[in-house]
Amino acid sequence: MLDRKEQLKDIGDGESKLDPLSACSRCAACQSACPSWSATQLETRSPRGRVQLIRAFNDHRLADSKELREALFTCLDCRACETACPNDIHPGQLSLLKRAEIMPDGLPRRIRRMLTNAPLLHAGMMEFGMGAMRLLYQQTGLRHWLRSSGLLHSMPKLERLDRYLPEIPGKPARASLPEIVPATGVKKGVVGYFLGCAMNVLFPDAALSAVRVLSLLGYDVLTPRGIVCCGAPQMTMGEIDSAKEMARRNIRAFDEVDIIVTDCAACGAEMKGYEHLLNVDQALRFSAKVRDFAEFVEPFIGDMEILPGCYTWHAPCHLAHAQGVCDPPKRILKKIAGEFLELTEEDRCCGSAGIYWLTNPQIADNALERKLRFIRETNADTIVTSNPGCVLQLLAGKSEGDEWNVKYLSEVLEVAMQGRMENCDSSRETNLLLSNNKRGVIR
Amino acid sequence: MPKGSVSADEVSLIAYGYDGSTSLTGQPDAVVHISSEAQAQAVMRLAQEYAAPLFPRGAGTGLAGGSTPNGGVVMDFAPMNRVIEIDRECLMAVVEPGVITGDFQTVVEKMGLFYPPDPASLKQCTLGGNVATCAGGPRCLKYGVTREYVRGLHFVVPGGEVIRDGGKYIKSAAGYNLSQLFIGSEGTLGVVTEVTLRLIPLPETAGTTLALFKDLEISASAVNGLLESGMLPSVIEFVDKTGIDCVQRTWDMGIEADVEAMLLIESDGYLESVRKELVLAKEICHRHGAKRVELAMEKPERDRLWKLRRSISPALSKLMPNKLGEDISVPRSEIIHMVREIRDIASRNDLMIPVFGHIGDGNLHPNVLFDMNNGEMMRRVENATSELIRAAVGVGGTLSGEHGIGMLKKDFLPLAIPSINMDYYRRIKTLFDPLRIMNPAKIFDM
Ligand SMILES: Cc1cc2nc3c(=O)[nH]c(=O)nc-3n(C[C@H](O)[C@H](O)[C@H](O)COP(=O)(O)OP(=O)(O)OC[C@H]3O[C@@H](n4cnc5c(N)ncnc54)[C@H](O)[C@@H]3O)c2cc1C
Ligand code: SF4
Ligand code: SF4
Repeated sequence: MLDRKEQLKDIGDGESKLDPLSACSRCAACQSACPSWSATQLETRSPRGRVQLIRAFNDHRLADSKELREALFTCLDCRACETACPNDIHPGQLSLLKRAEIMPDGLPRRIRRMLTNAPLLHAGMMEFGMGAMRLLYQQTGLRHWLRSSGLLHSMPKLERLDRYLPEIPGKPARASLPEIVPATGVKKGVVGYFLGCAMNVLFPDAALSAVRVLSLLGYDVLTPRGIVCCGAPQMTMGEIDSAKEMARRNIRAFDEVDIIVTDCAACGAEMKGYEHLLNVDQALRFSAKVRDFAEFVEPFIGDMEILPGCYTWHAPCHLAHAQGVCDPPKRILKKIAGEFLELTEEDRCCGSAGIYWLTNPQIADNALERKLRFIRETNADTIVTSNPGCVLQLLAGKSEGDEWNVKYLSEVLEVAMQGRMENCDSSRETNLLLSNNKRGVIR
Repeated sequence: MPKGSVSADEVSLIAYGYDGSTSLTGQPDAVVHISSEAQAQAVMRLAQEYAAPLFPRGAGTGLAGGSTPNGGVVMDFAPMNRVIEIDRECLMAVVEPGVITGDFQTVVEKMGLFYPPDPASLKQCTLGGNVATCAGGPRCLKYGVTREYVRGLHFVVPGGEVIRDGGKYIKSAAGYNLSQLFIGSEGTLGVVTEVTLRLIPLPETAGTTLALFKDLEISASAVNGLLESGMLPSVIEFVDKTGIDCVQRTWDMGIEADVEAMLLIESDGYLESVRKELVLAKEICHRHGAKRVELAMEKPERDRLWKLRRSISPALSKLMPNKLGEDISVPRSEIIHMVREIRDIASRNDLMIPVFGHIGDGNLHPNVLFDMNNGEMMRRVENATSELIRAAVGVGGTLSGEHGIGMLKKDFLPLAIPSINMDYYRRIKTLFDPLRIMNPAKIFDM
């Protein structure tokens, strides 16, 4: 039995003496956890099936084909199979790596790589793009017109895109976030904050909440200028080299801090995986420094203001399965929520999975429907989570009768902390700091 | 056939070529995804016409290569997965064959009802597969195996006719019981398309006793003590020293080095009676010389006590790449004898063979650990397996309690089954399947 590192390293290496995949006992304990299997009931869409197909490919019993790629690209990378597997096999990650290996390196791929790499490597470019989209699509009334004209219905992909696209905020988080936000009150130390792309442009309020919470807990918060996308989107597209480049840049950017906090589950999982991606000491050290927001703050959460309302927790796959962080967010919520309601299958994928909702709508919708059914069963009024993809997905699935809203953990925690602070001393300091430093210190 | 219900691409042919056995793999010519009885009939009709071999498959979790194809057509029943009806008044359910066992249990338990058969694979295996293999599990000590719950079947035979047998009644003395003939037939006579299952009221609660023994003999006498005391535990599971050691090599479970055997005893029913039975079980284990006994009523504590038993399979996979899970079933009085015999066989063949299983009903799982790439070892494995089965038959037992014969054990079947019985098997098979297209070369050769 090889450990995870060797499993992932040896992949595709036909020469390796012991086939690490042979440790898969074909027990199918992973099957019922898999959203793509549940939606299709097909072995070729199941984790066991994917492992066996990869194995056959490695053994030259199976050639590359459209069907093989479909089998690998329909994996949502939710990693639920990895939690379920008793034998430490990683079907999700193995599928991801195999995608990278079998994708032909033709012109279309190179063009796509170029188009996606640029905004992911330059936050400014992405901010510009989003700003343009906001102006041209949302503010000119084009969106309104497209929606009311019925034109969208004749273009299902576009209609889907429109349904998922939230109102883009006027300003990205970076515009109001100085490189260093000092601790509020007695300083305990310094933490790095990894500002993910989606948090930056789509959910700046939540990102700022996360920073303020860290500051309120007594930490100087460093958001380095040099950070780029975590690389997760590139990995799902099979662009492993681009992902490696992003990893290297982020590692450099955070050289000085000992702890790196992120409020995006997908970024956290990706960065904790740099050690496997790059397999060098530096990456190993970096990954060991990464903490999810909930994981980091939970030990410091004492008495809080109790928030009115009923809350439940949707656990992002990349938090619960990829990072194994399951209890901390719930423990926090139980301390601050007027009422905390358990969500059935809380750690089951909502179907968002990067841009999976766009590329594989059928399976994504099946996962979403299942999620919404259980959400509605709870009767909660606030669904708390910590991943941009999940927020977009849940909001896209919300229908007229649904009275609930979706919030980031950092947002609800900040409200509870501020409430308590207001009762004791003042925390205006941090807020002031953030608003004084409005115009991009980080450029 | 609706669109998408036939797959014949290379990828599907590989993905439907294996089951839960680690060493058997085949390849079909096509896979048909069945979602209705009418489709199953159509396939059976065509197959008869063209004499095409058919390989029924549920979830492919079988441990004997029962569903593995060799050319021909895999009939995949996974999409046919509706719970058609749950009849509270009659305490009966009607289901399609592709329903996942654990999903079904969750549904009925929400209604305060209970479907007891609990194969360890319940989260992934299908009720159709359970019927075809007569699946069992720990709880079968008190509640009986799948067979005890099937009250009716729809069964499509080659040519496409449907045999509808039984129904929502408990008793029947009218005619031959064909359902019971189909149960355990491993897809060699036809395919199951509908099952009527008996349900019982869900017990109020359950509790667990863990008892550790320094001596194998004493642990067996404790089992007898328990069963003679007048109570009927729902479960009595056993793990031998090799099994305990295998787990503890990977995860320290805090079990002392001088422990030779572990028993896990479960009681279920009303709270008062479960409490009473736990105390009684503890007393009996102590009286029979247990070294340490622990009781638990709450779920987390019970899970803790079950941890070692549940960790065995993954622990074994960490020690050796392959394992052959035997499934012998012997008279309870012979268990100790059998466990000793297994130890001798292990040392004679220089192999690791941990033993665990359902000691309460005499169904043991000695697992032979090996590496398939080691040819010399494979010879010793073969030898040990045949010695194991001979030993089980020698003490009046048989070679499979719940996993079935499939491909894996068919060579050994004649050791346990008299030739006249085998002769009748062949006649029955010919009656239903004259062209021998149903799951050919499984259970026995014609
Ligand atoms: C980890 C693990 C633990 C297990 N634990 C247990 C256990 O505790 N107890 C136990 O009894 N078994 C156990 N098993 C074995 C296996 O799960 C059972 O044999 C189960 O009943 C098989 O169900 P399946 O749906 O996977 O059937 P498959 O493996 O697909 O098929 C099994 C047999 O049934 C036939 N079949 C399937 N569906 C139909 C149908 N609709 N009509 C006709 N024939 C059909 C197939 O041809 C084959 O012969 C375990 C397996 C694993 C992997
Ligand atoms: S990562 Fe998710 S979608 Fe992919 S195989 Fe595992 S469970 Fe299935
Ligand atoms: S990946 Fe793990 S859980 Fe899935 S079949 Fe293989 S060993 Fe079993």
